[in-house]
Amino acid sequence: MPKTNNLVEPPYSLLAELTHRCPLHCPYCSNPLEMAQKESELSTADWIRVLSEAADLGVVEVHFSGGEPLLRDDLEILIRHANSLEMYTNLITSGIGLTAEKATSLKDAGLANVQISFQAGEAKLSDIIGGYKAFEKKREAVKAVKEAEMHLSLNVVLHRMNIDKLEGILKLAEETGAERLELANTQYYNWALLNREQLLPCWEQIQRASEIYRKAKARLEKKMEIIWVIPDYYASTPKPCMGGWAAIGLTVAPDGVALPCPTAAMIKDLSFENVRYSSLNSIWNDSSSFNRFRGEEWMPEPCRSCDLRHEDGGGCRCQAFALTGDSFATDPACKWAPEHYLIEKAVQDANNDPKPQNKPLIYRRHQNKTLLKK
Amino acid sequence: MADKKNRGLVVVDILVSCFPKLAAKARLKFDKVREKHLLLLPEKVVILNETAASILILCDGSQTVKGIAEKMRASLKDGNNASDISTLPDIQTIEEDISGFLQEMAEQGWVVIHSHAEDK
Repeated sequence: MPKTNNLVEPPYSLLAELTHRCPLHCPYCSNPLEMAQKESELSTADWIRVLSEAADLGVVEVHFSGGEPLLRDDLEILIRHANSLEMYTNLITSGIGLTAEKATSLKDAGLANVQISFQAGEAKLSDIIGGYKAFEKKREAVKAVKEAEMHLSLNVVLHRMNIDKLEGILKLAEETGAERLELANTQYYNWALLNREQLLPCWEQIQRASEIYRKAKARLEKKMEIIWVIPDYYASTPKPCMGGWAAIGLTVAPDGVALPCPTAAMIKDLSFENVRYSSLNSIWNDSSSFNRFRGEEWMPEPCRSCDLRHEDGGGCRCQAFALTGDSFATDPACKWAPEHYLIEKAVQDANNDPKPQNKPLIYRRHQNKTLLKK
Repeated sequence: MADKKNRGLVVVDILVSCFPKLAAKARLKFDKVREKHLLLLPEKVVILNETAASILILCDGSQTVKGIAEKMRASLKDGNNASDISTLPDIQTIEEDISGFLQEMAEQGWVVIHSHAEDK
């Protein structure tokens, strides 16, 4: 028996990223720039084992995501297995491929909840942002989920190109009968960071949108739960990273790499274990990558002596690494961070009037060789 | 305070003959790893105490709040030895407590209150 680290609480959730393949090309995608190829994806048997190990470890909720998880032909098998382990199952999808038949078969397998992404409230803009003619297919997917009587959530990532159209997004969500709407201001990692100049809204846009959100939340209180993920570039304190580094949940990437959060692979000075070679139990409890930022010992100043350290845990490690090159740094989103000027500069640029818009958007591509050579 | 109590009683009147049912999106689970009852929801896990779990297990849409209260009182009785029976709360108090709890659950959207029994 491997020794277990008694100080570590068991995880509640597993984000199972089944594939990086996706029909959409959203320029804010949180998937890594260098994505797993189909040949390197875990097999059905691997995922079955991972789910069983997760259940033994204490995981009670599984989020099947990607890329587009519907591109895997073993989704029903995996949902059925998770269900037999009494885990709550959630599908995070673009909606492409979610026909009425598919929705019924997923429900029969035990799927409890479906989250469908929308890029905007209307077809033209939605399809421009996603780089794919997806809007009508998404509407059909929404209908299929409702008819199969599954719980429906719409997920919309907000940025400069769609944030002024928030009312349209709310109207769409109401029309579809979604029980939940997640309005997530873009988090700037990976593809989104690459496109930050075109995506980061100005202060006035954020103000207007948060006012619309506030009113909608009050008006729709009984009908629809609305979640607002704060734009941390405009907050003075950082967001707590996933409730703490390797504290509540874990991610398994398509190629089997186990991560404390979906974007952690970007931290190049950490090496992560693979579920092909290590058990989830040993990864969660004993791996150096998962233990690296647990607790408060690792913290630099000003975090170490800051009263807010219990709340924000020093902020996001991925953001610290992406912006400063040092994964131990205080998250630059914090106003007391030595490198807060990096955030201030980006915010200043976003608020310059008129804003130069000459850089083209870089759309997510599954194989973007030219980009990787850069 | 008195006002709150009055409003509470109105709620009780509405509820005792109703049929509470766990929302379709919610799942109950006894977690062997943590040794806790959990209510699983989209993007949320609620840790339940023993009493809350015992009530929610009975919320299957086929029994009334009154029926659930009677079952809860019977199980309290079973759990106590004979000399303690006199200290058990009366059925009306139990009904009120359960109604109040279910009202909160319904407001969260975790329980749905039906006025008729569900066809099984």
